[in-house]
Amino acid sequence: MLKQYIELIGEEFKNRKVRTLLTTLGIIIGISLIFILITLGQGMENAIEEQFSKIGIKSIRIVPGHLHGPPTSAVGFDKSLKEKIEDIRGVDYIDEVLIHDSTIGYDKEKVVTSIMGYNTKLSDKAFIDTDTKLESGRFFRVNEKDAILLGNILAKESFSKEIRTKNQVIVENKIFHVIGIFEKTGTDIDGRAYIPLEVLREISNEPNLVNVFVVKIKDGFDIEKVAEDIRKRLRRVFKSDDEFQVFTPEQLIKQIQSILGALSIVLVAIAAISIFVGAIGIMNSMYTNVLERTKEIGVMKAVGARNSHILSLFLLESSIIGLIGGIIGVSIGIIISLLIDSIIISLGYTFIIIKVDPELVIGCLLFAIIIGTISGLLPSYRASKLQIVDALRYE
Amino acid sequence: MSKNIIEIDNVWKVYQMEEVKVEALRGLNIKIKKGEFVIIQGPSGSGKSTTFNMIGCLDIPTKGKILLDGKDISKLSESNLANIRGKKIGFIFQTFNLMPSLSALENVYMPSIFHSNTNSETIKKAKELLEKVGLSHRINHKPSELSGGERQRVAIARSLINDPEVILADEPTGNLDSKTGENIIKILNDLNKKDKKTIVMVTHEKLISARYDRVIRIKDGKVENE
Repeated sequence: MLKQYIELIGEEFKNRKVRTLLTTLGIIIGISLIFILITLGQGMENAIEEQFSKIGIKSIRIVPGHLHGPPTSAVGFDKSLKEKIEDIRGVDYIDEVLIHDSTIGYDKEKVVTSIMGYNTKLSDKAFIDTDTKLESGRFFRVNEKDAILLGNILAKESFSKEIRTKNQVIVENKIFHVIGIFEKTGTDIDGRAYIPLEVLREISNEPNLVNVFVVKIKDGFDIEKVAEDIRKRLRRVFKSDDEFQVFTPEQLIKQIQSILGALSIVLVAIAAISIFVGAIGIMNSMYTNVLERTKEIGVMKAVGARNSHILSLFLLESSIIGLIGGIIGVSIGIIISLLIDSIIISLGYTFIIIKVDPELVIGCLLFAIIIGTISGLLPSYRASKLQIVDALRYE
Repeated sequence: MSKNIIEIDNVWKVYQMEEVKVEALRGLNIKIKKGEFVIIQGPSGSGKSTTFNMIGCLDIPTKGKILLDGKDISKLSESNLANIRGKKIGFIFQTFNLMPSLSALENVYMPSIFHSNTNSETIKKAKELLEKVGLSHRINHKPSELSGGERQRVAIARSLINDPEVILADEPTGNLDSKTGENIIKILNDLNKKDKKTIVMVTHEKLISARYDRVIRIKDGKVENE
């Protein structure tokens, strides 16, 4: 029976291809939007999680209280704070991060960038713990002075001539030897430079400032517990909660996820409106359809179709319209998502990792079918209740 | 004497139009025997269309009984009526009433979709029926590609697909020229004489070459004379 129904509906569709396609337009747009949004959202979350696994789950960041973005050179702490938290149980070592906005000169060109100070006493430890890798060269030696490490994009793209390991650059009138170039990461490291911390303190004339403390936790300690101990200690030091923020990677992920979540809600709302309009479109088209085929409905009833047959025939038709919209919508969604992915990759970023989720594909198709069916309910019911005698007389 | 296949017993049909009551049938009594070829005639507004609807189970009476093959159908549910229409009655309409999007063949087996399962048997039967009405060369044509006479022949084939006992024809030649009309009547004559189908034909035309058994004249919702 179902097979014959579908054949009947298929013949109908063949006769009004354009209209069927136009009817599904709202569903196509809505479903493809939803598909793209969810895929991109998941892609961003995938990327964030990967980034954080790079940063290292075993570290805590302490930043000034009023900071609402990435750490900057503008705000910070006194470096003496380090000694006040060093003795907390579970703390392995504390890396002081100093950020200085300056220029790098190379081959008669100057580029503005953020220069980070690196504590060379840690040798390459802090880099290894955050999974930062070099494409070429080496990390700092203990007490090294005039050495500089460059981010991948800074070295390769910012200047008209590519900077290589063993070249020399100028920072604040001092010559630095490029000892290494970082791998491309897709994060802000790509545009930064690192020089020894003590040298940066001299250059920037900031002997005591620390913009961010990165606290590395020993293995076997609960990071949230250590973070809480640090908070308690800092509360005693500052006598206020507003002066500092202590972040664990999990909190950061949660924070970013909540921002993404709010963003997706807005975008999904837009998609929902589109679907709603699409549903009304299907309903409208089905009403027209019922009206146009009033006589045919009469004929089908005359030759023995029950009300329930007519109801299911029309419901099936509107759910197939939904399904067609869903299939086209998901296909467009997949194409656009992959396109976005390839554009982002070709630009050298990795802040989105696109994966086509089969569950999402099936979910979108089911959703489209349900929307089609619901939109068809009223028109189909009306078709099924038509009086045969009136329907046969309809011109 | 063969038994009655259709018995209309004192049937009234009253339509409520706004404030006015219209009595389309006022105590109609008709008996039709199995295998008869009966013509129902009457001027427009006489109630002959309503009579057609009653016999065809397309509408139910306000009062009275309709017995089809001995079974009272006047109180049956919508789905039971649909079953009876599908299995016991074949319809032929003045305007053919074919499905425009379906081919001749699909039109013929379309009623079976709602009743028996359409299978290779049904499709084979539909082809045979089209052959019987002389359309074996047109089975894949859409109604719009067929002439009036051809369309009516498809409709006749369709009315036979579920092998009904009664064929109800409403002005079957009304939209056809006289020569084509004659052909249709000839097919109906054959169905009556060779296949022993009971045929009830509503028409207002006088000159018909039908070899009918009786003419029932209806006027003012009642049988005028037989």
